[in-house]
Amino acid sequence: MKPKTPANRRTFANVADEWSYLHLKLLYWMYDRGDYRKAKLFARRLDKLISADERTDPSISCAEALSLIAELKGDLDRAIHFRELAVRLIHRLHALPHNPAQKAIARRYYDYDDLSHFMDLLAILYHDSGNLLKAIEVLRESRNYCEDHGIPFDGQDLLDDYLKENLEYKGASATGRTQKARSAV
Amino acid sequence: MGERLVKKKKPGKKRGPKGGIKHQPGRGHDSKSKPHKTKRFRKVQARQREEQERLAREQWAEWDSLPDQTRKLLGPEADPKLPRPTDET
Repeated sequence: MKPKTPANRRTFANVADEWSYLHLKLLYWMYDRGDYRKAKLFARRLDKLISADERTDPSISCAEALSLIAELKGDLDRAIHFRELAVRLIHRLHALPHNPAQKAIARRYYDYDDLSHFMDLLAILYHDSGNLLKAIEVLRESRNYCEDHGIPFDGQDLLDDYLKENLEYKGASATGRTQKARSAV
Repeated sequence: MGERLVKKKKPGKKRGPKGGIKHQPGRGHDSKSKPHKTKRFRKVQARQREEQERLAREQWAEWDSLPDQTRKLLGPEADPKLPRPTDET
């Protein structure tokens, strides 16, 4: 079943409201529907909002949005850079001393499973940019993180696929080496 | 002979006996009548306004309770999505 399209809106109470709307739309068209042409329309507007934002400190939502925009443009290095930044910032958020109420609020936005999800997306970016070993390393790190915090690991299929791909690659390169050695003899 | 163009006199407002509109028992009590609808729409609007205000209060109370560092890290995603209620400081 197709996920429901977020409702179209034209008026917003403030910048945060518009940000939230554009982010939701971008995620929907990019990941749920895979329609990059539609996603680009919202990415452009979100990019403008980020440029107009006066905050100088890096934030998780900003880093994530910039990573999505870069991924959409095909700039994988930039996408990886911002996705890594987002992961680091979530770690920092979890390390901050909070009282239980503050912790609950912060976790509502970025919890352990969100961090694991971000790491899985980072692994996909590494894979797409041709760095398979780093992708496997990030996925293993994500799995360990999930085990430590008692949450289910969603990227097991991805990890299996990448490990298989790595074995095939190793096998192919080993066959290539033996063929080269044989032809040299 | 040629006709003369004479501006016709506009008929004036119809004047009945003094005292305004004639009394019509039951006017305004029907569910389709204007005063009835106005009352109903006002109630709906008031309920929606109260709900929005409650949401805004909740969002701003949460936002105010967060330390500065956390706000910076969360970024615009976590900012209140509604304007601060006017009676709050």
